[in-house]
Amino acid sequence: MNHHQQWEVLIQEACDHQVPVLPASLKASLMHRLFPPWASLAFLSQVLAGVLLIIGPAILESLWLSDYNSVPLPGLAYGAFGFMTLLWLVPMALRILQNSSQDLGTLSDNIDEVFKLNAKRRLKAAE
Amino acid sequence: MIFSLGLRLFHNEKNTLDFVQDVYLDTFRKRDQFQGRSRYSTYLYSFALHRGLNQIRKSSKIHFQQVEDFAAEPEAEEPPSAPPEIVREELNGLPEVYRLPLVLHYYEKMSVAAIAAELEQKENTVKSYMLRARKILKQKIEERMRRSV
Repeated sequence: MNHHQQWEVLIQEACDHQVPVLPASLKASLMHRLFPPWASLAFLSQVLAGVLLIIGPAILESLWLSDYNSVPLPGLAYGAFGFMTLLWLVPMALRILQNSSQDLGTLSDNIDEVFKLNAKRRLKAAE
Repeated sequence: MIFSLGLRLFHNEKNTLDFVQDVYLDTFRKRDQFQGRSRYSTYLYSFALHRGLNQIRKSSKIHFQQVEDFAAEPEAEEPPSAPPEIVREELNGLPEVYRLPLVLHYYEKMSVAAIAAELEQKENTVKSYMLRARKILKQKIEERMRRSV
């Protein structure tokens, strides 16, 4: 690496060091808004139910508690599983849709506000 | 992308926010000028760079003095070794006439000729300022490193 390249690396690293990153608090707040705690809990329960659904029949069968061929367990269980999914998926989807439309409205209001404030500040500076 | 460019050009958050706002407003107003020959992000970046340099040139913050011609471009001396935050602080502490050519050349990868054209200066003036900027920056960083030891 010649001196020119070394200078390039030095200046690039220094400038990149200056680039602001998304504050951790803001990141957490965004995640919280996208995935509220109840949705995360519902999702985890769903995953757990899915795992039980997969391993449950095999365990029951191995314990001779259920006859896998004669009891309509899979159909009922999968139906219940689908219903459970709708119970949290639909409200969450509605919430996200509602949030995004609200956010767009708020965002445009904020932009207007920033433009107005900047215009005022510039006028003041010009005076 | 535009905010980071603004920070490199102005190294001041307030001016950078104004710059970002102006760039987006201008590109929106001049959206018909985009001919689709490059990616929009490339167009936006070069538009912003040109606009930022134009703004700096028009402001009274930067004033180059013409210098004698160089026969050839002087070879860059060995750079100092220091953590990026120290280099950044010392770089931002340089007067604009020294800081800007360094950032444009080494970060934005602009040739000396392109910098000279954007800042409406002779190539040799830019070369001279770059040479002096490297010397001053190296000296400042070395002094700071000596003090911290």
